[in-house]
Amino acid sequence: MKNIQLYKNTTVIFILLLVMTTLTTQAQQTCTVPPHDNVADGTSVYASGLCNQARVDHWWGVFDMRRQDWDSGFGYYDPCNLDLPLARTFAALYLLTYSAEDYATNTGDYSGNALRWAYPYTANNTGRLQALCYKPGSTPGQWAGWAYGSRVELYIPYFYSFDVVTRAGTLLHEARHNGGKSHNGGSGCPRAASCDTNWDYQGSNMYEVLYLWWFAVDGTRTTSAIRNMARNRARSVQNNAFNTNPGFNI
Amino acid sequence: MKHSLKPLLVLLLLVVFVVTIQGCENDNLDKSIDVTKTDESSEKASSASSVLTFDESSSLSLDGLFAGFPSGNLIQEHLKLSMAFGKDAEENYQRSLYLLRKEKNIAESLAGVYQKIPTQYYLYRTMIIEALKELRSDESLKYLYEIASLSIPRDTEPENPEIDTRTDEIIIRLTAVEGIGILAIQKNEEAEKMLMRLIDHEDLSVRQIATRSYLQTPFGNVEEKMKELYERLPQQEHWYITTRSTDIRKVEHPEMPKEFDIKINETEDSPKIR
Repeated sequence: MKNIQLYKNTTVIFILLLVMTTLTTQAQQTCTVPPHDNVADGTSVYASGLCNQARVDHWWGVFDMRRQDWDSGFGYYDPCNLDLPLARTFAALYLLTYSAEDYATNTGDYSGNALRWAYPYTANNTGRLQALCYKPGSTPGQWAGWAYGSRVELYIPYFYSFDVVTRAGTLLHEARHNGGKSHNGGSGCPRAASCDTNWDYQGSNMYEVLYLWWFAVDGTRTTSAIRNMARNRARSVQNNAFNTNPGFNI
Repeated sequence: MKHSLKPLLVLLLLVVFVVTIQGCENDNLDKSIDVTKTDESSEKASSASSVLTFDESSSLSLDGLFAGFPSGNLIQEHLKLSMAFGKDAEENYQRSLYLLRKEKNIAESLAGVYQKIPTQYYLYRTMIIEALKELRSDESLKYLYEIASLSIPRDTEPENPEIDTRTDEIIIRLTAVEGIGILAIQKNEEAEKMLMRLIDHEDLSVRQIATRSYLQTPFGNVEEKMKELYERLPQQEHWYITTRSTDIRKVEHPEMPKEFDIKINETEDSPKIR
């Protein structure tokens, strides 16, 4: 009888340890900031614009950002440091917010062209914005971000493999996913991944092309060099991300 | 013994309860994935936390790269201004271009820097080719063609479906084609011949821009050139045989709501600027 009782106790303790170990293992990721040059990826030019407490407070509230998602090295304690993910995200948000000459002054303003509605749309469809080393369950470096419906996770490649304009476009792209549109084209487009069937579907790729195209046509507070780059990116995305090419001469 | 077992059982029940709650949350998230990413992994979202460290390998500066070239400092300063932001950004950029154009052998220096710059700095590489293009000088032509005619290398991150480095390479090629187009419009016959050759490029976007630029040059008769291209290009690509670009205002746009609820979360833990 005593042996049976001992056996029961041991089993209970073993199960307890197993469950706790599983939970702990799942919860912790570690990573290192990869080599990067803030000038070369265009991040540094936004330094003066993003380092503003009122703006930081606004973005923090709009994107439901939380300390536990951005501390532990991600920049919570140094929000102007462009070497860290938080400031690099703010730089992208700054670009997204102020691309239009008459930029939207609140997140309820959807009027005007894509440069005006890109930020309000992103603000109202992203949900909680989180930073992680990598997508849980995936190989580190495999994904740049993931839209979960009511929140968006951003990973190391988003912060350090994309230039600032691409980071801004990616936020809109992910927000469109949370707005209800998954990629629906399988691998049927020339780039064979993240494809949308066509323009009429109004998916993330359409939003991205429109934002880049409008940025090239009407972007402000930037240079014609960056606008040309955005136009060429729009051309490439159009020709590679749709199963049926929209056929625009961008 | 029975008494000592009770707290353990209570603890176990608590753990089971937490796990169940987490499972429910993940189930909900899975439903969200179905809405937004039906074609991709249905892997469960996790409440995992991350720790990021910054070490000596994290910092990198390309400053040294420019020092070895004549006009290296001028080029580096120009690249910074080309990516600048603010109400004076374009004015400063144009002033820098003016200075660059006055510099001797600047096309050769730009091409030299381009060759040395690490591949993954796509934005910098694009800006160098943009500078070569904006010199609007015949001296740039051979370098522009060298770059425009190169094949698009394979995606360097095939394991990452969201990063396609071919797009970055295509952008660089397109910038070079635009530069050749500018020179051809300025009546450089060699540039026009290069455009003609680029119409056979492996990449659709390069073919598209080469075609439009070719049709915009002052050489020959546009209708005849178009007729020639209709015969030369496959029928499914005839849509880009045109001299005009599409007016974005006439393109289908998504309907945006006029009214909706604005949700700004109340928070007191926003990061503080020091």
